[in-house]
Amino acid sequence: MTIDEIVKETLGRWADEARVPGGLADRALARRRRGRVRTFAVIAGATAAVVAAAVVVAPAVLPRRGDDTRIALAGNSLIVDGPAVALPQSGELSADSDAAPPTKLVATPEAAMYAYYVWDYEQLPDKRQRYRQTWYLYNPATATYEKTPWAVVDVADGGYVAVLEEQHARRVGVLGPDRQVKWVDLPHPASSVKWSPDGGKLLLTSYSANPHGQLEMSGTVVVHRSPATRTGFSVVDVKSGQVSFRPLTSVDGDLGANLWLYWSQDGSLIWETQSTPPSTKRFYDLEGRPRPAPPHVAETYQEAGLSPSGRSLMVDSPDQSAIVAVKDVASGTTTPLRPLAGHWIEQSVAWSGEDKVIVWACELEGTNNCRVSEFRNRLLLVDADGGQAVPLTGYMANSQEPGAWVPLFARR
Amino acid sequence: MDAAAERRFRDFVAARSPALMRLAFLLSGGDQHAAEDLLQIALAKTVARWHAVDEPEAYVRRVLYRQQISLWRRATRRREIAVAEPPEGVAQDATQAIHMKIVVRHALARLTPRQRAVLVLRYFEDLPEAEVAAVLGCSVGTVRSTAHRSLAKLRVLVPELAEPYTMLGEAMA
Repeated sequence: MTIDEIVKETLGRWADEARVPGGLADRALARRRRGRVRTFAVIAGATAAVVAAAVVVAPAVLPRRGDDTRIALAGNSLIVDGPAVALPQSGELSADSDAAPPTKLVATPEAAMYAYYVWDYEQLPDKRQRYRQTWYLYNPATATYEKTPWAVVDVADGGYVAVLEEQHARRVGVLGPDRQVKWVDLPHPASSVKWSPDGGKLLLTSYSANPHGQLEMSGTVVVHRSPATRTGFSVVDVKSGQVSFRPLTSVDGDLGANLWLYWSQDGSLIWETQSTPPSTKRFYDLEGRPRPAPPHVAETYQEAGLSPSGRSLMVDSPDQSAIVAVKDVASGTTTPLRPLAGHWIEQSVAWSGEDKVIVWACELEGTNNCRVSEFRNRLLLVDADGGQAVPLTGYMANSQEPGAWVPLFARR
Repeated sequence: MDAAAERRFRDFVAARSPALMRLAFLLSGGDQHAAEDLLQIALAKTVARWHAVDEPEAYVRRVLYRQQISLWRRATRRREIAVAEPPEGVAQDATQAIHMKIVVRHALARLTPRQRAVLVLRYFEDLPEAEVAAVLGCSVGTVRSTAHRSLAKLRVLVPELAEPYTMLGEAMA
């Protein structure tokens, strides 16, 4: 028996273990209807329970009226004396082009990689596993990235750092320059934290359980993943520490754990990924009510999105000469980021000013292929017109395997 | 979508979901939950274009493949496709064939989505290289090199594949 025959036979027998769930057609049709006429929760604002200032109330005693009730509670101010990671507002390009992950600061004059995480699976009893992120934060005092104890980290422009202690956390903290943390309790445990663009608010996404919950294995096959559906989101006012929770559930069949919430570019709306055409993102206001997408941003899945001024948009390349392209939103013209300086550009990560983009790129082999694999890649700073490229890090072995690292950029 | 079109869609799903679910299951590396998500996304996309789709099964299959492969590009922060550690040896009474079946599955689950998709198209769907390239939207050369690398990785993950052995009772050449 050849390896071809073994693979063929193994695939055939393995496929026999697939179970066909019921209601596939119903769910697809319902999803389509929801896309056109999405109903939304009525927020009972008049009955919201606003707890007296400066009194932190345990979540268990908060008045609740089911999923339609907005819950608010006051906390302590999260204002800190300065950013946890203070970098010069502008500076020289700084790279660590042979290291992956980098140990020296990775930064452009406009943006900096303040943090990164390494993901893997934590082994639990009975061969169960749990997805885990280990976060590293840049420390200007030691001029290197240092391991942190936090389960989730986000960095605002200017180096302000928000943290969660666990993947399903009961409070959110902001790090001060002395690494002391100011905390605010949350009405519902949260699994993701995002700074608003102006640094004045925090957005936290909540789930019914840890969305990175345990995986149960039978031999080598995942037979069960602990279910977690999104329940809603909290917005924390950093200055006052007041927290408001709004229900915003993911519906049966949605990619629950993938439905993190993010801020829109101007901070007036939030969005989740939409996996069905025609739009890539669904927008809501801060009350959780559906809203139309701002111009252009819902045209792309590219992480870098709109440039700071909104002049350019990172999009998928319209032709096969490249994967990523830069679209001038005024004229509609696109510039594919073709192979450059021995690199095949794969994915945009963040803008650096208006004219440069930080991207993932593999080492070019031939005209349109990657040496070793497309998942062996490095961070690269490229001109938005495709002119020049500067390596920022070394190549990681495989971005899809445990041990891979993921950068977090913010403006300096 | 009018009532007749909806009925045709329901009939299509009822008739073809077992085959489509088998495919989604393999593309997801044996993750039943991820496979259901994947198939549902593909069916939702199909519904949205139902009036313009001439060959629904071919369309769903193409969406399944491309969706699975494209996930890595936009989900690096959210990746949760899971595999177990390799079995730490088999039970004393387990046969070598069962052991081999498990380790090959494990190795297939550890391939990247693109590598697994190429092997599924070549060996599960029995498609020639040119059709694999058409489904994935890439060149024949890319299909060939990806298949080559995928098999090479399988040999690394399952060293027994490079050696003579017996599988499922059949003598090996």
